[in-house]
Amino acid sequence: MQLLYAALTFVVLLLCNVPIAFTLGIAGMVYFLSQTSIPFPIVAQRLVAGTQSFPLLAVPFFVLAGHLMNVSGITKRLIHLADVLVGHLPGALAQVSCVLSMFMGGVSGSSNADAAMETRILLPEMRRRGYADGFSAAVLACSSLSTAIIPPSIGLVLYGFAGQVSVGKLFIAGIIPGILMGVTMMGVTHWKAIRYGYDRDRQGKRSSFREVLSALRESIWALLFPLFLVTTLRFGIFAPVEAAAFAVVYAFCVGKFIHRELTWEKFWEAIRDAAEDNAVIMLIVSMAAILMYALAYEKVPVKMSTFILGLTNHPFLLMLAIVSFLFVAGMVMEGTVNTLLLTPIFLPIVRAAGFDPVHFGVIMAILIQIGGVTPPVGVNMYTVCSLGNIKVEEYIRESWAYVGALLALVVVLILVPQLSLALVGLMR
Amino acid sequence: MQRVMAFLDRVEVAVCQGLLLVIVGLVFVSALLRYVGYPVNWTNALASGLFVWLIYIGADRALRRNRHIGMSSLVDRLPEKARNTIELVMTLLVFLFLVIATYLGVRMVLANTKRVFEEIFFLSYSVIVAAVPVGTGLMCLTLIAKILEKVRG
Repeated sequence: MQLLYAALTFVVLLLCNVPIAFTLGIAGMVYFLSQTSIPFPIVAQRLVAGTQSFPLLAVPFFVLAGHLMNVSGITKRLIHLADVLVGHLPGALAQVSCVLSMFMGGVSGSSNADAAMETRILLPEMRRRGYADGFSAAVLACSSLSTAIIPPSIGLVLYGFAGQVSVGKLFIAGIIPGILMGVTMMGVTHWKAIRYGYDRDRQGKRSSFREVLSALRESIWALLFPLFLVTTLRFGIFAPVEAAAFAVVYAFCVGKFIHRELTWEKFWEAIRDAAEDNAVIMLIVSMAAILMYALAYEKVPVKMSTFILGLTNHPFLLMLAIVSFLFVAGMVMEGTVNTLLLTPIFLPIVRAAGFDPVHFGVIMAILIQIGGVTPPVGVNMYTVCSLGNIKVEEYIRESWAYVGALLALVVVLILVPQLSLALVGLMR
Repeated sequence: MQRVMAFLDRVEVAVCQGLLLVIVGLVFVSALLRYVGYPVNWTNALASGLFVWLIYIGADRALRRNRHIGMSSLVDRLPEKARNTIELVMTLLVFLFLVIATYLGVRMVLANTKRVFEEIFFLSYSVIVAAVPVGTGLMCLTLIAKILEKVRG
């Protein structure tokens, strides 16, 4: 009953455009006010406790590393490399966006930051070459999703936190699915670009082997980092948070001493912006801790799992139901909240049905990412459309093919757990 | 008022920058020390503790710059007058929430003065949890400034 009040408050405030962090905080407080069996001051303790998990430090570190890469000239070199590799294909710039997102995936953990960066840099040129705005927005938003699955990944850090799953294993498990996402996006883009006849004149002008080699040499520092990250995690040399701290120092050193593009002014700006991005994400995590406590106190995960396992215990039907639910939840709700509140509810269920928590983490992270590009609530969609001043309707017309392809990929990833788990099995 | 807010903003930026650098430094050095065989156990605990400050001070700055994400799709469709009313009511509601959170936060600080933080003998638990009332208190001020600005047009 008390939870119902909280849920009602949550929905009403959300629709009234109250920032998500405060919506969570107020809904949590309403629960504690109506549930008299728990002392009210616990609310304040939850706000602190929600942030006191060591792996969460990876969030500001990877955000900061991403900002530093942008001002260190690392991003610029990766764009050049992507252009040399796929710039001769139909829909060249759209393909560059897909490949760039995969490269960025190895150094950045946030798809939204990637979508914003690519929109600023690629959209003006896409318009100059006559791509339809809807198509450009769709490819920029959807291709950015692979960034969030290829390690490092902020979404997987939050899943690991909410579900008590090893972040290192989750990172390793995300490698192949993340790359498959990028390849899937390239496939859809290729089909669309041929249909629309984009970049016909440039077709076939492949870069020479020499050009590829020189672009590779230029961006070697950016490409080495994901290898370093995966190797240290693979051999258990560093915890993910420590690797993230290294990423910051690494980006700084490359920008300052190798590329010599990082000025002190840019450095302080990057730190300022990272602190702000971090506060936006982490205030949600902190405020959600009140409701997470309420859900656990009311034994919602146990009740839900008894209820759902009572309906069916066929593992794949069960997974299908959960995946459909996550897809709808992703459409109407922001991703961080979904990860924090739904992981504790669904993880025990899929565990009982015999699925691996690492495998499910990757599936869930992808579905929550898909939520970022579907209306009515899609963070990446709004980022691209608002930066480019593009109508959401035009975007939707072009994006459904991408979303459909991603959902098909999710089904494949569920049916073939080895795609996620084979590399994890090689660990230790 | 505006000058006070501009000054606060500068202070908050400096504090956040300092905190983030120190936290990265603590974790980095701690990882290096562990790698060469001299594990130190208080660095990571201190980094986690400072993290609360980074979040709550940064959150105030994000609030001032309207960076906290909400869902505007429904409200955007309403006529301007209804939208302004909803915005005012909701801002007052968030203000009330922050006042209560500040009050609870202060009580939490007072209740924990004797407790030591994560076996770091010189650091009281109060110093860490004080981030919550300080942050929510600052956010109260920010909201007052926002409402005044709106009323004056």
